[in-house]
Amino acid sequence: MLNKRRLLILCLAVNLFTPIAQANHQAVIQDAWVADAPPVATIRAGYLKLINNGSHAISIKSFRSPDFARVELHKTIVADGMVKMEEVKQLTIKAGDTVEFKPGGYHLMLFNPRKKLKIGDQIKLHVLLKDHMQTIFSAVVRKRGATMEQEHHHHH
Amino acid sequence: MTIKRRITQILFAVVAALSLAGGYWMSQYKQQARLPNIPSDFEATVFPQARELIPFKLVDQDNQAFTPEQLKQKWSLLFFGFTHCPDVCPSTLKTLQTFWQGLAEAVRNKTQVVFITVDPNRDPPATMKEYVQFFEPDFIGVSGELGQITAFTRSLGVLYEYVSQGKGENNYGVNHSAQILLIDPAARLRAVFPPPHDPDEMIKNYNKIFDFYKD
Repeated sequence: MLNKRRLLILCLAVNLFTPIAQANHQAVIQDAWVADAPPVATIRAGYLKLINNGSHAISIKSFRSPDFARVELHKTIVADGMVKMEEVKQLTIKAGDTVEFKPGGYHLMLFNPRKKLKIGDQIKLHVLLKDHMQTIFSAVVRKRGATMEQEHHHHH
Repeated sequence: MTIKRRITQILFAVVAALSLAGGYWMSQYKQQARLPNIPSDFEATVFPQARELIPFKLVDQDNQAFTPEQLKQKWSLLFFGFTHCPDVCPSTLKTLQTFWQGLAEAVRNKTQVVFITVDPNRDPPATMKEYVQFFEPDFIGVSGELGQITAFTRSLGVLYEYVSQGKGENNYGVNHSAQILLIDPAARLRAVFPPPHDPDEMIKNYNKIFDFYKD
């Protein structure tokens, strides 16, 4: 009886954690950061590097964070002399590829912080893949670099 | 006869094409270097003739009137954006901060940086103040009536448009021009810095323009 229950708990645990573990093998997130911004700003930007270490393509469906009301994936594009932001509904990364989110390109749009953010804070984020797997990662709040290039090369 | 005429026609076409190309090349080739009233060797668009601004009445971060008068005595760098802009606007303000801190004091004393919202509905003067001061206490934030902002931006060739970002009245983004405009101390449009902006390049180019036109 006791053994059965233990087995059940074990099964549940395996079911709960296996997808995450699998996703972790494939989708690796590096250098995630949230730009420090004026407290009056209700939308923040998040940047990161997404690496597909797996053997097949992965599709990013969405991001979310317990620290923000909503998270969207956007891309800044320059067209007809105007800067536009486009929501990216799905981002596919080929096996072995890396997609970099950086100022002036892909970025996370983090709506309405649920708490006051300060430099050094760790923001918990979830990335949900199309196959319902998810990866949990954290992004540090830090100042923007002087140029987009510097931000691009910054490592913490 | 026909062949001769043909050759004449071809020759004529070649000469016409060459002179067209030459004219184009002449017009493109270091245009600024050839005009006496424009400094040479820099990366920005400087107008051969400074353009007068239209009259406008906006509101600064302390609820004071912001008109062409506030653009006199100093050189002004204008950037248009909005505070709900997470990527490009803060990046540009960060660039402007680095630019500002890299200027010689004598130059900085004769310069001002102005961030003007194209989203006054969500960016009242107090919001603009808090926003720009986060980047640099000396920067000036400007808001105002949408009609005034629209008339002013249009006259400068700055464009913007609102785009819905989902449900809710306040859920929209603003596409906008990202150039930085340089206004001379007589409140006339003198130059445009197109994106992308690099602070070091901007310091170099601004100093050239500043030195060229001083007195």
